[in-house]
Amino acid sequence: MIVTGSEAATQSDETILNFLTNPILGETTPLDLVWVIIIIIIAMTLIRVVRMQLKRTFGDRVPKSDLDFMSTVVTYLLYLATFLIILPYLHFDLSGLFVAGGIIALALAFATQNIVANLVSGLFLMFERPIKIGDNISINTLTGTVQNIQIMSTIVRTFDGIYIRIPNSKLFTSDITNLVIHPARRFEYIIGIRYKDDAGKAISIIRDMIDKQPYALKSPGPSVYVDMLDSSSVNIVVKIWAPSLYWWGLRTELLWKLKVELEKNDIQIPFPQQEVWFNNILKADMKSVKEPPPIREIPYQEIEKKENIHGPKPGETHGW
Amino acid sequence: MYGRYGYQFCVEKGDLKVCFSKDEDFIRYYRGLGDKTVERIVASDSGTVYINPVEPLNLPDEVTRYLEIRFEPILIEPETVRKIYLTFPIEIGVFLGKSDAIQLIDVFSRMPQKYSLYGPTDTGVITRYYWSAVYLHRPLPDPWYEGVLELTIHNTTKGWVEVSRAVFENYGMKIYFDEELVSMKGNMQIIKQTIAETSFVDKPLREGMQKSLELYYSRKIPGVERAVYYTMEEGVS
Repeated sequence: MIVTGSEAATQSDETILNFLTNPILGETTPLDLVWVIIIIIIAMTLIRVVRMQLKRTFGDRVPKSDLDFMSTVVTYLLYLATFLIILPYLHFDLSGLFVAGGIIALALAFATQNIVANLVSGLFLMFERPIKIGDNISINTLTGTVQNIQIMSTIVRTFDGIYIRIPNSKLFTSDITNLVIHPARRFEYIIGIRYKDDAGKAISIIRDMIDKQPYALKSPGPSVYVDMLDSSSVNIVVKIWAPSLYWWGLRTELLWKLKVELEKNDIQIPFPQQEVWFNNILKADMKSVKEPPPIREIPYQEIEKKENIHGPKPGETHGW
Repeated sequence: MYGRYGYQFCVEKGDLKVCFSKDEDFIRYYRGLGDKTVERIVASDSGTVYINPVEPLNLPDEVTRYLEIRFEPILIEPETVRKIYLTFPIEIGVFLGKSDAIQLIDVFSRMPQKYSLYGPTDTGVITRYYWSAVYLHRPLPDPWYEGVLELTIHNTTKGWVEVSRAVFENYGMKIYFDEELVSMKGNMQIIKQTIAETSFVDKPLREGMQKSLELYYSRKIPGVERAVYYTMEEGVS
């Protein structure tokens, strides 16, 4: 039997068609799988383009945390849409799923309860928003900055730069302390001065110093008052409100400035002192001792700036 | 000193010195104020330097969008309009311009900065705080330190209202300047005893003033000339 070229080509086409349309997995044909792959590639490209466009369009107008949230929500919606589009090509019978849904859901619930818990917690975290990307938070003993809120977990970077992944279910059920959700926060110092120092003058100096600090809020104003007559010192409590994002810098800078300024004005921060009385007679010649030795006080001294410290030049080695 | 310059100039005023100099390779910018100096290198052949007052919300950092001016309490009678003059702190911006591209390279101020909180500590907003005297006639402060805000207060309520603060949002701040004066024009419409709307008017205080380059500008919808309003919901005194 002679087969012409056109017939051979037709037969070949039919073979390919047969191969593509013959079910290989249930009712799913290779053609369906090709479509699934194409849809997935288009969807992934679309998701990438949409995320990029969102960043380009809103990058300079929307806070980064909001933009990331928006981007995450849009991405998951597109994933869901892709999944729903793919289902018919896989001949997945949704009605069957609904019938068996109860049993499957029950089985799935048992099998994946941790995953589902994380997923649901993630959704609640995204919509309730007790924390946002960029917030400084404290959870149990962990303190750090939120880097990302994902659907299953939340990424926190500690202030030491350590990466920590917290499952959303654990995060959601923990006591979350958001350190920056309010615009302002208060911090305090306790400054002890000597009994012979003028507390009123010290308070006035402290208030003047606080007033010069831009980030020490004018309203609510600072509280400065004598709080305790302690064993070795008169304790002055200083409470200052500052913008939440700037309080730490102010707190670390101001304390030393207060100490220096008080000492410049001859107000000393005393060492703890303890008087000890001996009940028994000491076998020492006390005739020559008229009065107890004076308590030595260290006066305020300007710290000389160390200049011109000669370190090794590039290429030189230390002389150790 | 406010105005436009080429790439080679040097201006001094008291302890302030602003210089642009050209060497073989680069344009060098120098600014000295008090004990602080700033130097920058610019790679450009030609362009324009603009020095003008900018919105006073940039130093020591961009902490907030809101400017709060506190002043002695004034009682405003019902359903009336009163005009007062306040002062505001000056921050000076140095810009580089080439065609339509404008770049801010430095901001400095001779006035100390202070921040405050308008509203409660959980829902309030951080504001740049400034205390001003109240004037019924236009004052003439040194334009390197303070500008003049002409504030028109409209009490739309049927009761007396005590006003001692005005909070403005940065978007829509329109600053004008000339050799002797830096100015803004603002409105405050008191809606209730504790609620007011504030906005700026895009007009100079007198003829011949130049408009400053803005750091914060809002995108206007074509055909809609509505000013940017801020609603003071946490009281006006």
